Amino acid sequence: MQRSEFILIVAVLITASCTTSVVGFLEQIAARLPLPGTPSPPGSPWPLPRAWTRNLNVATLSSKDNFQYISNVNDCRELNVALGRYDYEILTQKSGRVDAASGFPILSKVYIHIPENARQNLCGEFPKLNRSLAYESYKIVVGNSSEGVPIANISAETIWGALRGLETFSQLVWRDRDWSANHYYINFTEINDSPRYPHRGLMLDTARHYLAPRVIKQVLDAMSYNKLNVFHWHIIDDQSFPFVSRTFPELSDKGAYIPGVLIYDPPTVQDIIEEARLRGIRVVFEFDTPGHTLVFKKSHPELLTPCYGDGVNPGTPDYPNHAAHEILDPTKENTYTFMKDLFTEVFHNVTKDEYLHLGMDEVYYACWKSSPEIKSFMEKNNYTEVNQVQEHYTKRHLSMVQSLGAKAIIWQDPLDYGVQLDKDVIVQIWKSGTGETSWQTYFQKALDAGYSTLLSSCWYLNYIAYGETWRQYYECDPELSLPKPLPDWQKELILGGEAALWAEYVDATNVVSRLFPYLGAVAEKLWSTANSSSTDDAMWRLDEQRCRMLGRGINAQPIFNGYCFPGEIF
Amino acid sequence: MANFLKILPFLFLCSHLGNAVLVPMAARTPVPGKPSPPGSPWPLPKQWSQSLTLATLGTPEEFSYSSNVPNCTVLNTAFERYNYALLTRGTIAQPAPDVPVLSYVYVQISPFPQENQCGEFPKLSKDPNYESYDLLVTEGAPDNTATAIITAQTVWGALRGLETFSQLIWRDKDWGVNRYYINYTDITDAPRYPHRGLMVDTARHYLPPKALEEILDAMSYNKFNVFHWHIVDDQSFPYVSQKFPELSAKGAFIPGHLEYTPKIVQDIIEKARVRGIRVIFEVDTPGHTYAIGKSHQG
Repeated sequence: MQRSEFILIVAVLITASCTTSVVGFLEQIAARLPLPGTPSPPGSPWPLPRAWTRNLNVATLSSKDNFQYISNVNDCRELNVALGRYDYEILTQKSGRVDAASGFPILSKVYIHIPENARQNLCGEFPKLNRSLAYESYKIVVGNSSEGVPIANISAETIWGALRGLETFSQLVWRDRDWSANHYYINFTEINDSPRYPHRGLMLDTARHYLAPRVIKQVLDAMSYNKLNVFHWHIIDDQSFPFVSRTFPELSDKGAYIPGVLIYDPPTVQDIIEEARLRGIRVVFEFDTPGHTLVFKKSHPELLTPCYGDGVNPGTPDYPNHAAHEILDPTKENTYTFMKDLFTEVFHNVTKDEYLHLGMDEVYYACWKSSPEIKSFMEKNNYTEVNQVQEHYTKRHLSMVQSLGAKAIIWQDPLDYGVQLDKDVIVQIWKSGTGETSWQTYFQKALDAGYSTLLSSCWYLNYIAYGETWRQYYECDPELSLPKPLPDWQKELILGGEAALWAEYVDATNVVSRLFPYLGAVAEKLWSTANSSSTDDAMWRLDEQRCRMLGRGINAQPIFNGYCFPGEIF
Repeated sequence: MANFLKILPFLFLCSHLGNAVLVPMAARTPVPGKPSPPGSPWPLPKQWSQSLTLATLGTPEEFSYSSNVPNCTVLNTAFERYNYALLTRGTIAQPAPDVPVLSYVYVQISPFPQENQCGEFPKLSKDPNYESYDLLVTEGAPDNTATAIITAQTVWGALRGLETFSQLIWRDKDWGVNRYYINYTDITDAPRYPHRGLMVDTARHYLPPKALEEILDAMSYNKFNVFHWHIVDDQSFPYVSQKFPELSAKGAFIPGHLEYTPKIVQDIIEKARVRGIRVIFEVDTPGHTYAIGKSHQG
């Protein structure tokens, strides 16, 4: 086929819509409902870049032997590892033997350029929360070199931008629709990209069900394919304590589901932190207190508040209002000492991030209200409401964490009870209801009070339903979903958000398919410019992203009828 | 076996082979209901009495299946499927000391082919004995052995009995030892309903034959007996018709690849048959026929 014919056909295909077409692999839900939106051309990136110009000029990918990455910096380990990850096999979805298509100019060299100075390119560093535009920005140009030969140029100000650029570049490569041909192409392209929000995360719960390190690393991989940059590790909870503390080994010896087996020991944790770092992902640990701490009872029952279910004896339950012991005991000095020792270990010896997530959610009061010790504690401190007891714990705990030098993220709950905190504490909004309890109301309240915020409420991926639930994730916007427009100073307080996957019903058998590709919808909302695509148009690109992830070994579920051959795994 | 070994790590991680562990949703809501003893069957048999006397599994050489009907493919393939490796998750069991070793499983069905249904295809039958079985786990001969005896009137009942038998075996809670037990048990079982099915839609998305086979396996673990194959619909026509080959040549998502050839279809029917599962094809008309329009517009 002549190149001009090919271009004509590609142009026709791009402009064709509502067809059971070769461009998208989607099929209608029913005969009378044609597919909405405009099919995207092959090699469309996800998330959508800020500025993307795609030319109809096409180059073909060289064969493996002739393909090379050339970077201007050789001593950046993270870059070298990344070039290994985005190798020829990934670009060609492990298709086996791939040949350059005849009659097309051949792309064989990809140049990567970052500043040579390590203080600028940040090689060897850990990624941080950083609001500057340059931190994760990158440029891609695919075009003719001065000698008239196709080359690709990826340039960034930091290693993190280079990682984002490499991911996008890898998405621009697409396969010939003739299955027997085994050719790959890339369009001449210009991309200028940087994220809308600096905090784009996924919260995983490894307490309700243990997730093997191998599974966590696969999720980190898939997160990097969607340019997510925070892994919020909700590592312990009521049900289990898989985290191995050197200070208090009994916590996991008694609290892990299977001690010695279903645990995260220090080398494992550091390994996961490093795998995340190599993908430009921060690992933020959450040790949730004072609620969600039942597991401490297994090794340290003295840390929990004894409840008076029978009204007389400590340590008696009153189901379903409260258990025999629950919630950390705020009246005992030992509670604060213990937490200080634990958090000292976590902050100084475990985490590599500046932030710790302190939890603080769902502190139900039934137990405290039953307790005469709490009552006398309240009298001693002149507290008239039980939420002041929560405030007492919150402030002491937060002050301890800050004295260690850590910065804090908390769930919204203390704010709901009128607690006032330092404005450098980041507040994560998770509740959602209607009217006064809508997430928008909570979110606005936090902004009005001057807190930096993260949105999670509309991105609870553990709530599954029949149909296209990814659309509601895609259409939830931290700014535009609010009822009134925000002043600039409040826009700046929005740091981004996180999807959450609570794991009551999730383990290794379903975690990846439940997360992907839906997490991609959240990822684009947080990375791409607001309103840069309609949901209907995004569907086509998300489908291609899903198929791309299948080709990379991520068992992402379908979003609509159709197929992803030959990526479907079995 | 290859598939089984693939999932082995997950099995190790998330089950105690009968000691599966549930934990409360929250401190104030304890887990409801009464925990079941290890080796509890699913679905629940009509009559089930379990003794506290135990037998243990020995080495693979000490374990065997036999029946009074030789040369019966359904039984022989079932003995292969429910083999020692399945019962011990691919490991070699350490027999528990001072406990009789379960050494053979004997399947007794009607010796007459027309009645035992060997070589037949399963049908819809209102006969209460069509899938019924008795299962007795008791002392065997010689001394210090135990045996399981499955009695049924047809091979279909024998299959149900074999599945239940395989579920009675449970692993010692002590992870340091690889011991397996089975309680002396007396079960009389028969289904409440004769048609217990799963409908699978392979038109909205193509499901590779391996996926369908895995589903058939899992159906047999739950005593399902009908695979209702909703094979074509608006979106695609993966069924290869020899009379009208253009239906799939134009209608399959990817002709030549995402389709069910006659050989594949017969293979699935046979895999279903040896699990006591009927395959019922649905070609939905007059609606849900958009894919047919790709080759036959008129």
